[in-house]
Amino acid sequence: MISIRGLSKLFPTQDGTLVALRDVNLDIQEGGFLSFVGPSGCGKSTLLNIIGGLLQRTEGEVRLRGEVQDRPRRELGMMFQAPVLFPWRTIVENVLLPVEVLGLDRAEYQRKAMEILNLVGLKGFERAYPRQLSGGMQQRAALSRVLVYDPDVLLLDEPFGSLDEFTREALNLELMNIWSATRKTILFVTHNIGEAVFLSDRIVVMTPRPGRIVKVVDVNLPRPRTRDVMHTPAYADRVFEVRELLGVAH
Amino acid sequence: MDKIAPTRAPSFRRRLVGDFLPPLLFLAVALVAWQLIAPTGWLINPLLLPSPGAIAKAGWELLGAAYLGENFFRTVYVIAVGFVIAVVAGLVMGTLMAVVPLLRLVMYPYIIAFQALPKIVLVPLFIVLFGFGAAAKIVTAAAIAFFPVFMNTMVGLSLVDADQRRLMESLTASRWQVFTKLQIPSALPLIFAGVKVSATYAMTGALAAELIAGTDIGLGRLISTFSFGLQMDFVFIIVIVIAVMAYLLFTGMERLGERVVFWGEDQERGGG
Repeated sequence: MISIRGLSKLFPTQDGTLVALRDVNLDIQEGGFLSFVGPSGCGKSTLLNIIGGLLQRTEGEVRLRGEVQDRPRRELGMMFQAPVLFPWRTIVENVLLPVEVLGLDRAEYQRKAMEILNLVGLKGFERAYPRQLSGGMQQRAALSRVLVYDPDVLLLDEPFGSLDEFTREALNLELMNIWSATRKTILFVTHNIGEAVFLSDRIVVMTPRPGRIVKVVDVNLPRPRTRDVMHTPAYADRVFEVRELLGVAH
Repeated sequence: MDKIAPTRAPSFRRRLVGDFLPPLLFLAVALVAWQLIAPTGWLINPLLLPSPGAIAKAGWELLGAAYLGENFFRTVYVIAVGFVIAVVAGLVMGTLMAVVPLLRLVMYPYIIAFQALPKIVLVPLFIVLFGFGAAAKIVTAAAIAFFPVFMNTMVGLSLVDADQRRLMESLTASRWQVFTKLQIPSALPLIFAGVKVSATYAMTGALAAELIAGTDIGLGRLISTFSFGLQMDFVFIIVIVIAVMAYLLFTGMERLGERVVFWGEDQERGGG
């Protein structure tokens, strides 16, 4: 569905050029859950932003269903590390922002927004303002906002990275349920190896200086997965494999 | 101290005692002391600084005079019209400067220069141009009150959170959508802060122009007339009227601001 060929990204800096990505090649299938894992500076967020059309590449090309992909599109829904809610809008108004921007029928989507907010556990907070919500709830609202207009691909850039362990785990489970129900293509950037193994079909392991792909690991754990997966030897093997590839001491 | 009392909003009576009583008590003591000292001529010549009693008497007299209302409403009119012109012009110009970079490039140095200029020196020019009536004073008030709205509109529309902009971009928002759904609401806290300052500037501008003009009507004119006649008790009354007016204007704008920018100025934008 998405193919990346010879992709490089250079950033000019004060002391020369930073090679954020060098010669990245990758094929992404429709309907899969793909994670990008690596330490800070490996270019995983840069790669996601290029796929999303928010950053321009320096070399190479990205194609979406055969077509050159170099701009934001309705089919690609992005979610960031920060919730990025508008403080002057209520939660439901925030969720309906894409509907307004894309010129969709507001009345029809109003109902859908309510359903999704219910699904992510924000029932009763529709008319609240973002500042009245905890960080985890704000991120649930941000997730609802990207789900409401039903994009084919979700580009999630460390969406739960700033949340505490418990909230993050709960949201990962919800994300997995949503993915199981909708079978959207999900591209998920994280620096948490366990999280990546738990969620993904495939993991793109990346290293920095220059940012490049070391290997794409097939996770091959049975689905549907529950928390119990994390106690199986197969899970431990995958985590170990990714850590080895990243050269993390263990 | 091992029991924690539930926090409740203080009752009106408590607020009356806690918030209003101390300053009022202080005022009463000061007035009484002043009243007692004034006739002795000790410290201050009562001709220059009349006693509270004398001022109150003057106030009573002035309130009965028909010309007070006429002068009062003229000044209110000058402030109001000058303020509205300043806000509208500030919003329009500030927006243009924010969205048309070329315009900002060309005009900015002149605008800064005009801002630095003490506009009071233009009053004689305005009187020559617009006559001795209300118009010259309105123009002065507007010229002084223009800048806070203008500057804050320009800066507010330009300072948009990068993540919020990125979100709009990812949703394929048009420039117009970014402007209406993101830039304007983002700028509102700063714009309103500017409007508040402009309100007090308009008042200063109107009164200063009336004082300098020295003819025509208005509270500023009354002050200069009474001062020349050494009627300091009347001067004090006008000053008190202006102080009350300024207080009401300022708190009114404050309330309005809280309603318009209900989400507060410390917007949570999250890190990342």
